[in-house]
Amino acid sequence: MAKSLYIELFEKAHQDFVQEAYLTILLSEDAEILYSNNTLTNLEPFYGQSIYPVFPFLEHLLQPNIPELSINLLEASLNQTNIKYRCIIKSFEKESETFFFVILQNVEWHYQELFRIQQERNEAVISKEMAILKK
Amino acid sequence: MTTGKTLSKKVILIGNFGVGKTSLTRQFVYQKFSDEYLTTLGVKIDKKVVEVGNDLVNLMIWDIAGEVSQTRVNTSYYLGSNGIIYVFDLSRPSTYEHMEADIEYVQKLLPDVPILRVANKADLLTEEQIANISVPYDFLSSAKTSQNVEEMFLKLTKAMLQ
Ligand SMILES: Nc1nc2c(ncn2[C@@H]2O[C@H](COP(=O)(O)OP(=O)(O)OP(=O)(O)O)[C@@H](O)[C@H]2O)c(=O)[nH]1
Ligand SMILES: [Mg+2]
Repeated sequence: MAKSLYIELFEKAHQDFVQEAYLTILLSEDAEILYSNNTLTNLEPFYGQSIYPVFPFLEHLLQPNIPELSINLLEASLNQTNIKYRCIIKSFEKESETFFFVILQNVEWHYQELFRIQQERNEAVISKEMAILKK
Repeated sequence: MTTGKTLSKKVILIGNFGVGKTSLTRQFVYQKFSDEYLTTLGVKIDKKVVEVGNDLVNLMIWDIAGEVSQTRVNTSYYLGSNGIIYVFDLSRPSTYEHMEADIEYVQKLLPDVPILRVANKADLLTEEQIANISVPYDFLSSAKTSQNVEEMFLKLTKAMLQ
């Protein structure tokens, strides 16, 4: 295959598996939306406004003194639908201003898999406890 | 009409799995209850606006997946918390045996943050059985009958405003 085809393949894969799977947002120190790739939801109409009305849960997570923070599974609503996210927040400085870079990945598929395992584990532990208590 | 300010506060619900953290949150936010158990993965976040005096408080409720010991919980979940609800299940002694050790651990991470101890599923026990439970708690609750659900969140909200 020619190199130009690899590049095309790469770009298509990047679009489908990275660009489309992750919502990325650049925020100012005051949580103002500066720029986004607008995946999952279109934030363009809110540029210059606070991110909190869209993602209230970020309010207690944006901490300039923590360079990287990650929450592997977070369930919250977006436009009245519940979504399962993986959330990564990076904070950094540029020309003595602080910025946040937020990455939200929709992990519904991952959730279903993990849910089954945790549900079975918890139910087994609880019923074992109950059986001992009844004796 | 309120003429006061709007504040935002983060509350976390912690404790063993299956004790009723999600059910208490659901009862408080949506006035609903279900007998079906569906475990929480990671953290589930809900919001409710509460009026205290002239102020409006945006309560961000972080319902955290239960673990046998709080030391297993990702510490990022605790970040910026203003109030803590520790829930245990009156019908399962294993859910309150480690309560004081858990609370000590969490208080080291979150010093000076108000904490409530909540004894849930009161509807499953008789008064006599409840009287025999020797661990201390601030509220006897039931997510099923909604006993003390509103009350505990309000009490914590007031404590967070002080
Ligand atoms: N009878 C009774 N059952 C309750 C009460 N609260 C919760 N339950 C039941 O207990 C089970 C577990 O409740 P959840 O709210 O999912 O427990 P949880 O603490 O969120 O559990 P994890 O998410 O796994 O940590 C469910 O079957 C609920 O219906 C209560 O006050 N009374
Ligand atoms: Mg739960």
